[in-house]
Amino acid sequence: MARPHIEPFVELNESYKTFTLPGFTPSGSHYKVLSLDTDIGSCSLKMRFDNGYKRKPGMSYSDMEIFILTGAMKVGDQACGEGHYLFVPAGYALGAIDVPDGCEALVMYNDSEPSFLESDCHHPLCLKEGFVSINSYQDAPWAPGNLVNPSVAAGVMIKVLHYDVLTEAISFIYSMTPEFMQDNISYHDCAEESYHIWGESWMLQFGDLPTGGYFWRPPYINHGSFRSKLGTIAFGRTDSKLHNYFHFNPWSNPDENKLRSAAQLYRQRPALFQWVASDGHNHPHGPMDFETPHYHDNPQVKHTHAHHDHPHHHHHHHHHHDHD
Amino acid sequence: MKYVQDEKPERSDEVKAWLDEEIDAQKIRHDAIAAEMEGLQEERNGWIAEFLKIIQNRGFNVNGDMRRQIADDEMPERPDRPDADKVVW
Repeated sequence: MARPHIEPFVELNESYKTFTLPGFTPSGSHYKVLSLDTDIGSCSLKMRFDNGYKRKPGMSYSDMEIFILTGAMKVGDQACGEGHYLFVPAGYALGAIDVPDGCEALVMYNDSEPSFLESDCHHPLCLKEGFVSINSYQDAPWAPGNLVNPSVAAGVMIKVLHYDVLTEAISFIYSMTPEFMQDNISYHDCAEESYHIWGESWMLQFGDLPTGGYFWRPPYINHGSFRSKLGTIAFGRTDSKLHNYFHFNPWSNPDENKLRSAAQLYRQRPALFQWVASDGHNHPHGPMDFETPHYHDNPQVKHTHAHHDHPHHHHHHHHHHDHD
Repeated sequence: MKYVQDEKPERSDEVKAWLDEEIDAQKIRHDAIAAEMEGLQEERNGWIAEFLKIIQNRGFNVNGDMRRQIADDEMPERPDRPDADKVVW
């Protein structure tokens, strides 16, 4: 069933566990699972690396994302302090890790369970040009939150750190100003994930989300209206394109929201809707794309089509036409 | 097209055991969150009432800071169905 809806979850109340998976010993790294895909094992972890933690160069069989929350780690020759973000493609031989004074980080395995293979050279199939290493606090400017329309209210700022060209999945940090407010209810076609680095926010469904608060929210689930009394800074991700569907019905369910989205597609991209809905075009592996003919094999594309994230109520509408 | 991900070795028994343990823990966590959220319902009803007042007065955020006041005949009503108050899915 992919990742369940985990919202809200305040990880600061939980204890770390010691990592014992093959490739993650000797110990010195600890983790808390924030969310986990029950089929493929992809997961978001909060990790703690002890003083003196070292790891040799190596690769994972999964794309990885790392966001440094507190402390610092050296990755190869690169010093990665608070706010440093890494996107590490599967098969990328990440440099040796050295954590002299301890560190906490969000560590996300996007395609499968955590894996590590000691290696100082990239896997031959590695898409190494996808590697990203940036200090999000120091080396990226804040942009207004209205990069998506319909837009969030003024008072949300964003720094996009990673953009997947095939699925438009994004990873980003965002902030809300103190006394931020937005009086609508939102949902998306994509799963959405967030971790509060500092601060608090409030949503109509879930109440307060404090520092250390986290959510993994599958598609089409209502959230909002929104408030932030004191402001917040957070790390967020989507698994595909983010579109804000705003409305004001606190009681709509995910199936109704999905139908509403399909109705918007019907109105706004009528030719595409007609084509996709016609017999034979709605192929489970997607239509042909002359520019990216092998996109069906892309792991991120596969994840977003592999499973449903919440129970579905199938509505069968039988239209009976009487022909006299 | 082949990806690195396609060459991942089969899961070992150790990895399978780790996954099973964490999946079980996640189920417990999910159920606890759902129960906690159900426990907020009385307070949430107050939040919903306040929200419904705001969208008729200050207005509903249509796009960015553009607001629209919702007329009486557009106001939603709570449906009579078991999942009406469900927030964790």
